[in-house]
Amino acid sequence: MKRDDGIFAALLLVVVIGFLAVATQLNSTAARMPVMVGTFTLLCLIAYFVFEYRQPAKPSKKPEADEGDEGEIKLQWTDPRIWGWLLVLLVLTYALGVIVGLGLLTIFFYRFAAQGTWRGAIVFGVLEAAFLYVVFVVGFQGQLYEGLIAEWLFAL
Amino acid sequence: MIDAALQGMRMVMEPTALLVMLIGVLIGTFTGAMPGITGTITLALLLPFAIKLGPIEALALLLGSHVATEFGGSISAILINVPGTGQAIATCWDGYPFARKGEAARAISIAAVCSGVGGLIGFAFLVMAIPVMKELALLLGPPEYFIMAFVGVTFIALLGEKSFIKGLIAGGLGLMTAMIGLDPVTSSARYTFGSLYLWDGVDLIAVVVGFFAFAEMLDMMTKGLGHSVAGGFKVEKPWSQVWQGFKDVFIYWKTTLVTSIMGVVIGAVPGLGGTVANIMGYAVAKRVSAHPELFGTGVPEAIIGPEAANNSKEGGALVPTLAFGIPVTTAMAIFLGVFVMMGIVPGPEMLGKNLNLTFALAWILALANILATGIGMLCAAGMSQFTLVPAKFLVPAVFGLGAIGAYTSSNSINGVLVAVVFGFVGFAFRKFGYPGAPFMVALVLGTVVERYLHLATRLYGPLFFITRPVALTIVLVALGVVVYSVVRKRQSSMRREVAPV
Repeated sequence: MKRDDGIFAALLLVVVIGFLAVATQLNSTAARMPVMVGTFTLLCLIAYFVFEYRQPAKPSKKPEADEGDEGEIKLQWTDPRIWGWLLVLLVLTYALGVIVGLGLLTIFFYRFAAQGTWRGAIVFGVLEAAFLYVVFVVGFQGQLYEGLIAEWLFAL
Repeated sequence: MIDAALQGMRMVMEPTALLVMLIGVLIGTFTGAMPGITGTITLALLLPFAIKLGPIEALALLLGSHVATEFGGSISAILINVPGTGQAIATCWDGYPFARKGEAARAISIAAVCSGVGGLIGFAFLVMAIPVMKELALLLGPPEYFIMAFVGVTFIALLGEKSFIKGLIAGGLGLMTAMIGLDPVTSSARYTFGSLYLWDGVDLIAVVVGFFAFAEMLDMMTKGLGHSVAGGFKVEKPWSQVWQGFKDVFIYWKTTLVTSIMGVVIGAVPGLGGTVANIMGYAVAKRVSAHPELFGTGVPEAIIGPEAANNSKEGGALVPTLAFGIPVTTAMAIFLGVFVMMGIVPGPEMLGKNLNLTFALAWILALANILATGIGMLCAAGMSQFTLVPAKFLVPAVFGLGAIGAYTSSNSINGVLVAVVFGFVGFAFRKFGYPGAPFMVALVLGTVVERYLHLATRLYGPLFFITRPVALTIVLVALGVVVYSVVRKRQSSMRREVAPV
């Protein structure tokens, strides 16, 4: 974990250096605050590597017992099956729009991640999409994004 | 003056005005709990109905709904870690841990009661402050506002969390994120990478949805999809929890009082608004607390601070709106528009000829807060059952509500992209022990800090913090608090090291 911690801090270091590099391209007034803030964060990151990262790691605590189904598989945080769902959310909402995309996400999530039945997944997904439609489109007269595919079809 | 106060009360106590106010409070509580539908959006949606009513009924509907959205935002913040409005961001930080312990009813009750008490303190301030407001406004200028905002950022990074350095790094990253968008002085684009969407900076609601709600859902998924928000805890005796929440607000009366007063002051300052009041309320509650190290684990003071501050600020915000015709927030600008549509001219007339109307507004503020508190307490026990829903249902529901909140707050699909990006950032912060609070405080206050820094240096030169007596006093007090906190923290860590021997 400590090694991962160091990699993350190094990644932040790269981001901050990039941030400062972009600041140098700005005019002096616009660059003043970013340079101050970037330099401050850079110094803090250096201080982290000098004072904290070099210290020996403390023994990790015993993990807490979690509720959940017996025999349920606990996934590692790095597992793509965890963070991949955010990418699926992004792709579906961009491609199919907010209501259809989110409804489909719910169906796929319930069916594949939660191992539910297709019928349950479809009911849950349709109910969620209907709720969002009633509240945000009918109730608040909102104009929701309809997706790249719909835009492309309308353009034909 | 007493005659005007009584006359104002009689105007508000009419049955139609009370009924309309109740409707406004119910609508506000519901919309407040819906991520992405802010108090301003609710006001805008109710406006067409309001202008068909009489002046008092219209103001009862609008102010009633506006006050209730402040509390409503805390409901989803506590139950699913998604702030219903930007003014409930800091409420997530300890409200959600309460839900995870099976004590959501207590947290909602605390939020409801302290919102009411904060609102009543705001009401008292509104009544008392009008004669002295002009002098106070002259005392504070850009240098003082800059120093107050800067102190807010550093305090939250320095106080409490395990690692000072990680707190400061998180604060620095928050300030860096706040630099995205147009520079406030020259209007040149910074870090927008050619995207028009980023000209206004990253959307705060989208960042919060990603950083807290999406990251939390990813974290829940690592524990298994049978897991619920309340984890292994059961929601026991929800009505006892509601009563305990009521008592908490008065047990921690010092926090309630101090953060309410602070909220009133923030409310009266142009450009700060409810999100700043909410976050500063958290910072001040932490400062006042005898056990700041427990913040983030679910302590009553951490809900009292932000909620009391964001409701009391309405009283403060009404003062410049009514007395000088200067709306300090978007919501107050809408109210100002309503006044004008109804032929009421804000300014000196509100303190003379229309004094009864000013008092009527103050009474509406007080009654709407009491109504919202009652509704909140009645619903808290039922709403707490929500925390028992397993992750397999909760994750897609939160993804859906969060994504739509991120979309509607800026009306752009890029809001969903921002939420997803900050979902990954928030997840990484959790895994590597970086505190989220300094990041969010810095993000909110970053633009305020920059705007007032520019103004202060232009008007008073680079040494403005020495040449202005009030600014110098704030700097010295802040330095004293920081040094004291560092020394106290070092002493307590030394005690911990000595203790096992």
